[in-house]
Amino acid sequence: MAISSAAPATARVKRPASAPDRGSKLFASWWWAIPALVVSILVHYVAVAVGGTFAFTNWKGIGAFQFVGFDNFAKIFSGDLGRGAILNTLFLAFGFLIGTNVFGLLLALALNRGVKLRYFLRVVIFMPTVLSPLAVSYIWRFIYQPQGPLNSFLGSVGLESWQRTWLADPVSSIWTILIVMVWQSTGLVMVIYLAGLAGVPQELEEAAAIDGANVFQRFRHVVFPLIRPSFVIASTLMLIQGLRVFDQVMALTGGGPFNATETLATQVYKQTFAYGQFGYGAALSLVLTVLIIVISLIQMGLTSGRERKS
Amino acid sequence: MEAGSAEAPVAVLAQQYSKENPDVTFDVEPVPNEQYGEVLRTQLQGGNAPDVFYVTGGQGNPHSALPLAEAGYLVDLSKTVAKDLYTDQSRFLGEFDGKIWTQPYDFVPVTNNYNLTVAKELGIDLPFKSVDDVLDACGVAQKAGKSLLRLAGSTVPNNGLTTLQLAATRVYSEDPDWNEKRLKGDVTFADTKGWTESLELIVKMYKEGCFQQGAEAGVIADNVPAIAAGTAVGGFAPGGQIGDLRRVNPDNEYVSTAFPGDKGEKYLFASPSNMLALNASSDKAKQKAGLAFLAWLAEPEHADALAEVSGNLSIRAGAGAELPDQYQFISDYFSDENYQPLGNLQWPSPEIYNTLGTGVQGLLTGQTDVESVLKAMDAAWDQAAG
Repeated sequence: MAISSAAPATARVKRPASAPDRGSKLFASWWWAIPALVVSILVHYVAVAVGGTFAFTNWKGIGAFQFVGFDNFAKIFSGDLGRGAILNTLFLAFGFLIGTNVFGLLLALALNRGVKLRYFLRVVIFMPTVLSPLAVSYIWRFIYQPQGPLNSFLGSVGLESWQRTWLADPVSSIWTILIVMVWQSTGLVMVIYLAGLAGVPQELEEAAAIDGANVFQRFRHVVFPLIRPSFVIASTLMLIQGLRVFDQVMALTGGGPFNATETLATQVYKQTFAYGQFGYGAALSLVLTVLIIVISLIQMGLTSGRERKS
Repeated sequence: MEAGSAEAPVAVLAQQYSKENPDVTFDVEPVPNEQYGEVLRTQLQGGNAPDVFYVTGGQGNPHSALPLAEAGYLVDLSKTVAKDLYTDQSRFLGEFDGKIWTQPYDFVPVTNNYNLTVAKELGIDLPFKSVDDVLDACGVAQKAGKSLLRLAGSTVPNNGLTTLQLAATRVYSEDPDWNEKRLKGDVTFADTKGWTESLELIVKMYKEGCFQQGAEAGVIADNVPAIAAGTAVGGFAPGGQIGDLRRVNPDNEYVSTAFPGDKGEKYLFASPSNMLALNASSDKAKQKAGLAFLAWLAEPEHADALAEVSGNLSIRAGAGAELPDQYQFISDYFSDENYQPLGNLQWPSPEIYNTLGTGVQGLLTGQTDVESVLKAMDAAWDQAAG
C-alpha cells in the first residue's frame, strides 16, 4: 500500500505544471519580500537617485537652483583639489586593502596553531576593531604630535633626522592616516582568515610536507586555495571601507596640510556642509558611489573568477 | 553655542535669566568652533536647530547671518531692540532686505593677546611698536624654551584671523573701503601689495621661530591652555579670549594688543560680530520666549555682565566706552577711530576665508606660494560673486 500510494505522488511531481500554477508558486516564493523590497528601493535607490540629480545643479543648500549640466563634474576632474581627492581616495583604499590583508593573513597564520598564548593574542589584536575610529584617531594624533611619543622615541634611539611634524608633512601625512586605518582593521581581517584556516585539514598540510613541499609551497598550493573565500570577503570589505575613508582623515589632518590628504568623502562633507556647495558636493558623492561600485565589481569579478578556477 | 575651553558667555547669562524666570529653561548645545557652521546649517536644513543660536554678522563665514536670513531660517528682529545695537558702520552685518535679523551681544576687538605675567618674566615689553620689536621678542621667547605666539596652523579660522590682523595695517588702514572695491572688481587680492606683504610676514615669522614647534599642525583647542600655562606668550584671537585665559589660569595677568604695522601703523578690526538669532521654524511660544530673552540680554546691566564674562566690550557701551584693563594698549585705537568691522565679514562666501586659511598652512609647509594663495582667493571670490 505504501508503494502504490507513493506512485501517484511521484506522478504528480513529474507532471508539467500549468502556467497559472507556476505563476502562483513563483509569487508565493517571493511575495513576502515585497514590503522590504519597496522600502529598500525607496530608501536606497530612489533617495540616491533624487540626491544624484542635485549633482547637475548649482544648489547652495538654501534657496533656488539652476541646472548646470556637467559643470560640477568638469570642475572635479579639471581642478587640483578634485583630482587630488580622487587619487588620495584610491591610494588609501588600495593601501588599506593590501596592508590589512597582508598583516591580517600573517597574524592569522602565526596565531592559527602552536602559539601558547594565541587566544589571548587574538583578543588583543582584534580589540582596536571594536573601538570608534574617531577615538582611535585622536589617540594617534597625540602620538604623532611634534613633541609626542613617536618623535620622542625616535630622538631617544638616535634617529633625530627622522623626526618631523607627521600630521602636517606633505609627504608623511597620508601615510600616517594609512597606518592608523591598517592598525585598527587588521584584527578584523585576521579573524576572517582564522575562520578560513579553521577549515583547512591539518592532514593535507602534513601530506604536502611529507611530499617535500616547503612552507611557502604548502601555503601557495594547499592552504591559500582553501581559504580563498576568506580572501574574497576580506578584500571586498576592506576595499569598500577604504574607499569610504572619512573619520580618520577628519580627526588626524582635517584634509591638510594644504589639501594633501583630502579624500572624496571629506570633500563631499566640506563642500556640502561647510561651503554650502550642495550641487558640487552631490557630484562628488556620485563620483565616489560610481568608483565604489565599479572597483568593487571588478575586484569581485577577479577574485570569484579565480575561485571557480581553483 | 560655540564650544570653547570655558562655558559660552551667553550660556552663563542664560542661567541667570532662568533664575529670574523659573518657567524658562535652556538646554545649551556646545559645538566645536571648527564644525559650528556645518552643524548649524545641517540642523537648520533638517528642521532641528535650536530655538536661539549663535551666528556671526555678515556673510563671510559658514555660520554667517545673512545667507541664513536670505534662506528664511531667521526671525525678523526689525521691531525689537536689536536695531538699536548697530551703528551706521556696522548695520550691514545684520541687515538683509531692509530688515534686521540678528542681535549683537558684545563688541569684539580682534586682537593679539598676551600673557603679561610671562612676558614680564622674559623681559618682553608690550605693546610692540613695530614688526622688528615682534621679531626680537620671538628670539627672546625661543631662548627661554617658549614661543612668542601660538598658531593653530591646521585650523582655517586661526590662520585666517592671524592673516587678517596683519592685513589690518597693511591693507585696510590705507584703504578702509578695500572690500567695496573688491566687490566692484576694482582691486584683487593678488594685485594688492598689502595682502602679499601680510602673507610674506607670516612665513617670515614662522621661519624666525615666532610660532611654536610644529605650528603648521597646531589645533585651536590647544591655544588657550598653552598661553595660560605660559608655554606660549601670546596668540591671535578675538579679545574675548582673555576671559577664557583668566578662567583657565586666574593667577596670571593678560592683555590685548593690536599687531603693529611695519613702521608702527595703528589699525585693528573691531565689530559687533557675535550675534544671536531666533529660529523661524520654532513654534510661536518659543519664539516669544526667545524674543523676551534677547530683550533682557540687551538691557545695559545684562549687556555689561555678558561683556565681563566674554572678555569683549559691552554692546551697550560700544567702542566709545571706558575700556576694561586688558584693553589699555588699544584704547587710543578707538578714540582715534582707527578700526573697522572684521574684513572677511563682508566677503561674499566662506570659501574665500577657507582658501586663505588653507593657503597659510600650505605656505608654512612649503606646498604653495603667496601669489598662488592670493590668486586662489580671487578665484573663489569671483566664483562666489558669480
